[in-house]
Amino acid sequence: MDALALFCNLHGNGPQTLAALREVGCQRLQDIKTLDAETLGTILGRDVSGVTRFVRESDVLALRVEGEAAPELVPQAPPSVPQPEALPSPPVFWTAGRQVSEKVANLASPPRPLAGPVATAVMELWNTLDGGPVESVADSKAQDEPDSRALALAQLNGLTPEQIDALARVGIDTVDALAEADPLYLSKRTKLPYTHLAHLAFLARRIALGQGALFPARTPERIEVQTRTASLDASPEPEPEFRGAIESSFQPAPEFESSETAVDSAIGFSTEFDEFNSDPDGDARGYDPEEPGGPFV
Amino acid sequence: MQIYALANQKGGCGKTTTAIHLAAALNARGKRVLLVDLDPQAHATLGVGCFVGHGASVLDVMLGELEVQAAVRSLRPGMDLLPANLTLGDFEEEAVHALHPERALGKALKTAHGAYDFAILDCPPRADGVLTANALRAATHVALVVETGAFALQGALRAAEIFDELLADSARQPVRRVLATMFDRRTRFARDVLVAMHARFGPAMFDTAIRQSVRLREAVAQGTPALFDAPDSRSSHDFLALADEVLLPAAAPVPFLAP
Repeated sequence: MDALALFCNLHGNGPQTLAALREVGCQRLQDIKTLDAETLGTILGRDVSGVTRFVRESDVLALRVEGEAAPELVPQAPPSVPQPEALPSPPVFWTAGRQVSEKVANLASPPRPLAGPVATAVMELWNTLDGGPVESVADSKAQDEPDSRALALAQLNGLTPEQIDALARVGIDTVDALAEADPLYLSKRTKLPYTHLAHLAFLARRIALGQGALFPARTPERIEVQTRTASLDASPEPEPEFRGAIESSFQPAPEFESSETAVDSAIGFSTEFDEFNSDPDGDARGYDPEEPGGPFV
Repeated sequence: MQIYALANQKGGCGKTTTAIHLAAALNARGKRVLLVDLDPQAHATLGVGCFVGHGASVLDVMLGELEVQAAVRSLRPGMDLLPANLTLGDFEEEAVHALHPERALGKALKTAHGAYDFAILDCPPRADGVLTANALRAATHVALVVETGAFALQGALRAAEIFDELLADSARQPVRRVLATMFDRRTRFARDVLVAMHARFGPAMFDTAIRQSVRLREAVAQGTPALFDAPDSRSSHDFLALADEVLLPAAAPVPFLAP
């Protein structure tokens, strides 16, 4: 994967921006910082604030696609060369990019906190929605029952003792392990149905999220959790005598803001149009400026 | 001849649009291209402005009744179409009586190896049919076309698993690539999905993502690829960039979901 190409797709004009960056000698994502603001502004067709944001987004992408390699993005000058702080007037985008890099480096430096910023934000929101401190309950449980994350005690819907044994044989014995496992891989190893394992992994991720685990701090997993709302539950049907009890125990949810929407907004996940990437062409809305006349003539 | 099969079991993800425009982009780069419509709905045939009638079609070629060169329609210099029509669905029934029906297309295309540099196969939106199996068997490259929308990753992983299974016992393993389509960079959601796809599929991903554009929809509806109608549009730039990637030397074939 060419991270620079991906970045140009995400925040630039795709192959055109990529070609322009390569023309000025930018071959890697890290090279963006070596360009001066004027050159970058000319390539992107943006002002100083747009350029600053472009550089900042490149740092964020580096963290997401390269993980621990992100702190290395801060250019390390040789000892004989003055450090960037010593320069008389560093460009605005350079300063902003370095600040973000330092922040990113602090986030990624070990030891990592038990609950990441995303999980903390979600937990705070859930505290508000549930009207009770989830954190204190989780803490007391953790003290009383050290194995509370064991798969056998998690009571995932549809998880049978035979399946717990099958999962344990391939090394999956905790909720966290199930949350991080690949259902396709598990399905091949355990011969359990893929759809059922995908659903169990989905439930495990929800539990891991509620218990303040780091998951899903990384974007790929977060996307899967948030888009897998239609996960198929292939678990066996409940026995007839229990079905009535289940139905009678169902309580309509109190009226409040949709929790999914609230969680999305708390962790900055939005399907709304982004101001930064607002396209003045607007042709995805049906109006193509390249077409002479257009629909309004 | 390199044979690219554009496949996904999901419909509406951009397979046909990609097939038409990739063929046009490769032709614009000076390559001789054969576009093969394997969809019984014949949308690729319609998308390049050809009439879907009862003339010679890919069905006749797969049944061994016609040579490829006798069934193609010339779209422009260096770009031909092997059309489909509504009877292509009959191949499923004919296949019951045939020995190794999944090899029919591969055999037929071998006769045209010297005439073209690339063959682009537009697969039907299913993974388990004999038409898709033909495309996968004949292909030197399989490109999984994935829309950057909701359920994209889940659907793509499922399709990738099926294709890996179908190709597991094949003697010749095609190079497997993943292409993101209908990408709208203005939404954070689409950007996150694209990053997630790169994280999941790694080097199999094409660096080029095909952006959403009304121009593409109009081009297919009008029967003229956007590259010929609007060569400076961003869609044209996307597909030319994709063609440049296709022209690069291929990597070693590995399954979509490599362990």
